[in-house]
Amino acid sequence: MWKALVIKELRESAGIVALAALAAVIMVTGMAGLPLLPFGVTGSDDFPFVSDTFLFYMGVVVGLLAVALGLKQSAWETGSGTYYFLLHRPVDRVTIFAIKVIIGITIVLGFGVAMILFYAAWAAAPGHSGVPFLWSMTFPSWRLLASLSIVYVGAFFSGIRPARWYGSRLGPVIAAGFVVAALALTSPWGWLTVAVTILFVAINLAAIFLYVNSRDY
Amino acid sequence: MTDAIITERLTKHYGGRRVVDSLDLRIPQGSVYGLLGRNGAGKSTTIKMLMGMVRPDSGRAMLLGEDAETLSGATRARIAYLAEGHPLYGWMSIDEAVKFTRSFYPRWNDALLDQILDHFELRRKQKYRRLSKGQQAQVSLALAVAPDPELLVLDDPTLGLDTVVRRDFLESLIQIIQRQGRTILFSSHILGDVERVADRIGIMVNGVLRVDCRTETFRESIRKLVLDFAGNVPDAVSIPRLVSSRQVRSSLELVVVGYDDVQREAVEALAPLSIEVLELNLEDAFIEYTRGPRRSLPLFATELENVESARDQGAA
Amino acid sequence: MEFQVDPTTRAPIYRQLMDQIREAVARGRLKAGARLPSVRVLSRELVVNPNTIARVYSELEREGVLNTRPGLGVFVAETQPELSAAARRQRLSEILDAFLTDAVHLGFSSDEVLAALSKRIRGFQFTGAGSKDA
Repeated sequence: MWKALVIKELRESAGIVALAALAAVIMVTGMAGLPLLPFGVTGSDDFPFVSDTFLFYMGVVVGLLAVALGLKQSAWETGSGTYYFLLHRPVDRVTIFAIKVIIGITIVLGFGVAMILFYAAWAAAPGHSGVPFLWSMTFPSWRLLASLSIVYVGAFFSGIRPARWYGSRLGPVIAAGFVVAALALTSPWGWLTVAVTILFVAINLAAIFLYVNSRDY
Repeated sequence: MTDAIITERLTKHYGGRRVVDSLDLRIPQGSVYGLLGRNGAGKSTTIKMLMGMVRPDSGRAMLLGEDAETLSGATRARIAYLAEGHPLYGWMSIDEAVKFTRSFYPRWNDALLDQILDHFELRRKQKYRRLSKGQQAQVSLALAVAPDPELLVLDDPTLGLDTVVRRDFLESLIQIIQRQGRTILFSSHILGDVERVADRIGIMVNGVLRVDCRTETFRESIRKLVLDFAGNVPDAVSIPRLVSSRQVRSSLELVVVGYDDVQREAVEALAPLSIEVLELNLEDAFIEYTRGPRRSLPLFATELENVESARDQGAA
Repeated sequence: MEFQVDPTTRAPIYRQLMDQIREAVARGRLKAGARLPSVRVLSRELVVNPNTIARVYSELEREGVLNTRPGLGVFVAETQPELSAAARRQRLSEILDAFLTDAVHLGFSSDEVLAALSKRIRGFQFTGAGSKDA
């Protein structure tokens, strides 16, 4: 039964991941000097990872993926009425949602990892940039990616908490966005970012599981 | 005989309104119970509270002996739930839906499932969202009964289905009923269907369960009286157990519960020219009962069945 | 033997079925000793709760119209129920009064009523003394 739930969540996320992959491809190839679109990212003069806009665009693409996935996994089933089917299966409710969240975080982080690695591979290959490639150049990207998990759980919490969309419902995901931006712009220390990330992810997870058991569907 | 479903003073507010008002329900094991009521009467909310999808504000519900808010997985496996609109994942094909659902249950009757799907000539590779509403209803029903449940809870299962498809669904339901010991609770608007299938009915009016008795008891107890008058048409407030009264030109149409000697005397005291006593079919009885003013509706429960059995004994 | 039920009419389903069975026996369409469909089969055919069918059969058995042979099924009883002669005459008077009232209101003359009665009587199987054969 767990396998069935995992496969279901993966299938349902496929569309969003495909769109994000498309955006990522456009972005990465643009930065690599082969822009697929006439506008947007170009810049083969910049040094990859160090002085280019990879960080920004990665943040945007993975951030939007996190928001879309978080909202879809939590709120879409309310609209389609399928919670009445899903939550009546003879499985612990906490288990069902834990699987959703684990799959979601895995997809978001995995996607970001793939993006970073692809771009690093391009940057490391000889002849592509004027700067020798060092893994340390990727550290800001890893940090940003880790902190984007706050956006995912924030979006999931927004989707699961019954409130008005035009009211306070999107509060958690917007707050998550601010936290991530603050971390990216101000914190120089890796450990601080990790600590704050873990804190906010934990807060959102606690809120999610509190609502999951107490809300009306 | 133990009860499959018990509620005690189950209550739910939405905004300032009591959508379900202190509901006391007992559904015996093995019975088929039809829950009736107009739109907004609280039927769906009640069912959702029974299934643990909505939290009651006060009171509690028990299914198969367990509290509805903390149903264990093992108990859920013995209960089938068909929510309004038969929701399922539209992207799944019938085969995928079967595979998905089957993975959760230790007991699974493939033969019964195949029988229902083949009878309705459903193509297994078709996606759920491409099926017609009637086909979706059949698939959902098949998936619900494959685990061989002891209790089935169906929320308005024939909503939006046309006449022919509704009959198909009822036929499937009758086959399910044949098996002894299964309890079925279903809510419906279609009185004809309820009368065919239900042993007992409950009628909710503005969140309150006003009727809870055997199907034929309700129907046989509601009577329409047409009283003709020469001149002034009098007020009918003196008639006990009055459901509604309406003046139509020079006659008074009354709907009463349990027409007996006491009421006959009260009616004759109004001195009408003639008294006509009419039976009503279930649909008309339901309409009269739920259309009238709410506050003074007489309640129908075991009290009336006691009255009826006393009458039988007297007549024998 | 085809039965039908209609939830929209005034009579409850079980009573419709009871009337239909009684009429079928009276008209000779169901002969004495004939076997009726099982509860299961009839409930599926009519799409009616099996408890209702079971109730019809047991009520008719109580009236003496049907009897159950365990393991074999439900059959039309060999001899039909006996009320006292006075009770039967009383019942017949009630039936005739209701029928004649309606006939008068429909505007028929007494000769027309008698003619119609003689004609339709031939469609039924009477068992009492002095019955004409169909």
